[in-house]
Amino acid sequence: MFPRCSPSVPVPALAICSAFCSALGLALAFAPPAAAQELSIPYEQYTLDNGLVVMLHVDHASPQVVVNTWYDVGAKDEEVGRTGFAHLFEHLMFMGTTRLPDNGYDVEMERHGGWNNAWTSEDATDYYDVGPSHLLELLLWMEADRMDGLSTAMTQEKLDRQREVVRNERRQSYEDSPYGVAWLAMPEILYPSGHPYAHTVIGSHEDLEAATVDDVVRFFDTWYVPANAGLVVAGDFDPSQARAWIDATYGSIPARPAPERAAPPAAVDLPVTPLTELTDQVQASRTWMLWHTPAAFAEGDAALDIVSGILHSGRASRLYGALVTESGHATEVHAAQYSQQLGSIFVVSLTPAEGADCATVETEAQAELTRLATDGPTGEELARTKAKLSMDFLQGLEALQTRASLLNRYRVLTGDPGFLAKDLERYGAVDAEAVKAAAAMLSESRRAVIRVHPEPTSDADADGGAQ
Amino acid sequence: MSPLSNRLLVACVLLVGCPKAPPAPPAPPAPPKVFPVTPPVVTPDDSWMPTAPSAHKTVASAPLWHAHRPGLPLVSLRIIFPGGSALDPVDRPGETALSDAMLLRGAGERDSAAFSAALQTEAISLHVNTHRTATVVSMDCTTQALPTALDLLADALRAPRFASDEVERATQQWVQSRKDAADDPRTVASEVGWRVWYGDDSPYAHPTQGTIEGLEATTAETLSRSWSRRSHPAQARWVAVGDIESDQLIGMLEARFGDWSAVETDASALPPPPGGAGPLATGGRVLVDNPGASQTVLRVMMPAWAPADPMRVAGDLGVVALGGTFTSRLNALLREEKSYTYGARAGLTVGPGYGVVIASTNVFRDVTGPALTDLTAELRRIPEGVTEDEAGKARASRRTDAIEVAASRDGTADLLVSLALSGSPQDGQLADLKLGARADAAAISSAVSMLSFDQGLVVVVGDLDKVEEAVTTALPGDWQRVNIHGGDIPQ
Repeated sequence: MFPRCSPSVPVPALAICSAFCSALGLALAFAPPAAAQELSIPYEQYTLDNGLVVMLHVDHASPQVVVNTWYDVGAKDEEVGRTGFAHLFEHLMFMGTTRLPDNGYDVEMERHGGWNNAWTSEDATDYYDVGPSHLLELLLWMEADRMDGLSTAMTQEKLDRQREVVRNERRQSYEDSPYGVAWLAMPEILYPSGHPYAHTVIGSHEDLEAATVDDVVRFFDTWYVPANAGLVVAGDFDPSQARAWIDATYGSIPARPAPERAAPPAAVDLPVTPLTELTDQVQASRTWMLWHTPAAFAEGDAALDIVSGILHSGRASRLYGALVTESGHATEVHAAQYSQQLGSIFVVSLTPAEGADCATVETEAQAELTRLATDGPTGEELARTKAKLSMDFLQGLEALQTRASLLNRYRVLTGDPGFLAKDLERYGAVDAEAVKAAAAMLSESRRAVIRVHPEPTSDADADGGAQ
Repeated sequence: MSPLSNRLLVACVLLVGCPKAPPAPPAPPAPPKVFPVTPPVVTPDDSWMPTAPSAHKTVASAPLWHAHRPGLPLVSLRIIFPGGSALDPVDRPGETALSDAMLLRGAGERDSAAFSAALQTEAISLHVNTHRTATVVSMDCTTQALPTALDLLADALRAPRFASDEVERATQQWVQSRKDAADDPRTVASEVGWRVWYGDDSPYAHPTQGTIEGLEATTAETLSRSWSRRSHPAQARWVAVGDIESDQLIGMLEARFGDWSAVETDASALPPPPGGAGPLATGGRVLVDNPGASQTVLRVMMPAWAPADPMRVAGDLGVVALGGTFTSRLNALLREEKSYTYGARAGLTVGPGYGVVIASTNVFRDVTGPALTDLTAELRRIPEGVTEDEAGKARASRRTDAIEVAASRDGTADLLVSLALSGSPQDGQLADLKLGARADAAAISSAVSMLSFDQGLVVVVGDLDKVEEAVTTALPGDWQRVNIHGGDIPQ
């Protein structure tokens, strides 16, 4: 997920998805029984004649509103030679229309206390506007305005400016970010050439430089159509008034054909390159172990979220206990299931302690994965991992912005915006056998490894290893 | 029968009982809708105001700020202990923060892993953050788990183990973390900036997380002693926000902490931080070499308003106009107009007795010179004042911030902590909003007129081979040169 405005910390390509899921509480098990029964995001849904799906979620607890617009297009939909384009286009959506030229979108919004941001992932592009309740009519008008005619106001000069902004984003988030080279290399290591996920969301400098205004217009005409979008209005508003405003704005946008999509590629089982060694401007080596895993919401996806918690969450977790506490060969361990539409990735990252090397910690971590697949989790491990996930879920739902985005995410990925209760159920249903089966996917024969070592200095050799 | 069933029954009766109606004439086609050409006019509603927390006394008569938030069954608790990294011994920078971290790595009857598991079993989030002047313990949990959470909290604060093997492990991890920090050019810019801002001899100068040498010099005994000298219940401040009444919470706290007394002499008294500009902040210029970097970090720190300064609220609005929102001056110029960067921002940082405006951006290496020239020009221009448009935008932005914080349980708790840390009263946010609502462009301009780029500190982190000439040409002066991995700053 690539935010339009600079985040407070650099966000790696795949990690962004996880950060988002975590913020939403998607990587959760089930809430405490009493709360679980009550947890829901009330909404009403309808579809405009032009195909735009609208969801209204009313909450008068605070005088604020959120408008969330989710376009079902991401980096996986980019053409050959245009990597990074979906994200570049996201930036261009703020560059003005005929009715509200130049930076009018941001100026008008901020004048009245609103703010906005957006992100692009492999699968989707999501725009959100936040502001005081009295701003809703303006927010709807501005979002509808650019859905109606962004491309007609596109110019070479706008494209050139945002292209350079995005290239700076790439430099900041990857090239100058410690271990950023690992995230840049990951797609090609995992996916065969031609696969929709075989390139980074941020794209290459070369492809970004190749983008043209014609590309922008074609991309808009193809993907930014009402029938390929979902609109969520959340917060403190009168739904009948909101319907009228939506009808007057979005309702006047002509219908355009929904994009035709190629059949999804066959699931990828094995990585392309089993072992990759890289260097970066860092002081210590770090290793990433990667596996292809089931797609978001597919069988095994929730269990792998639980597996990640058992492996790395807290000092009683498996990897922490074995590699940090017992052997002392690692100083940091991390594990995560990065759920994606066409197939997910499970990542274990390890930082060897001084005196240890990457191969040693990989062997020890793999032994723990094998043990989990063979023996399964203890009842206590399973219970406490679910408890933590449920708390994350509960806390995530506090934020209006989270709820708005979650309705759209559930709609696109499950077909049901009200999937929350079922989502909780799917985590609640994960038992020891499911954890064993999920952990069994993380075998040595199916994994890829990326090692990043410190760049050699004049008085050190290039072999790396922990420094 | 439910209302819905009633309606269905009536509908069925009507369908059965009515003769078939003649076919209706076809409706004329609806005229095509026309998109409204101009944006709607916004009618502001500024009636909302935040509710200040109630003030109470709790453990050892320490103050408790409490905000009752029924709804989701969650509670956020914060405890502030004065002290912080400014108390670190000269030869052990980082001792306070590492000591704080050890509170959660084994306490009472539980070792580190068992303590972590106990927290996770009840879905309790417990963290400790060390600031320069205080330690803040943060706990978030469900209302149902609060009794257990407070039991564990009491263990952490009153009976931390400081086991030597766990101390050794934590030290190793923290040393690694310091190495990671030195790999990140933005962190380096920040840490070098504060070091020069305060001056090498100041107890406030080093990073709160310490130095590798300082961390390695700590022992289980020094870490334990550090906490003993700071864990004075009478000096603490408590903040609670969530689904619990104050009386109920105070009773629970008294049951677990009522007999808590300090075992060491209070050593939390700090030397006063330098007010306004640090000793070296008068026109300081520092270049940090980061070979191979594709971007250059530009960071400027300017003396500003302390929390009690009557101009602070208006000044803060001026800083919002400078770099607090997407369309603010710095981002509009350096990102949107010139495409030098992914983003540029500025903000006001305040602590007890001081305030600093920090502006920062990462720019493409090849445009370092022009970017520094433009940044300098904007920072020199801001004392000339802001427009009414900018003033209105800043007021609206701060108001929205307040609404969002109020809507968030942990956000409210953290806001109250920041008020306490800066020495503000519990209704400080409300007072600021009211003051800010009256701050027009003239008031804001008057406040920002005191900002001085030439009194500020400039830190540049980049590939010196490629950018040094551009930097020193764009901003001539006495530049100090520093190695990114901790080379001493020449005095």
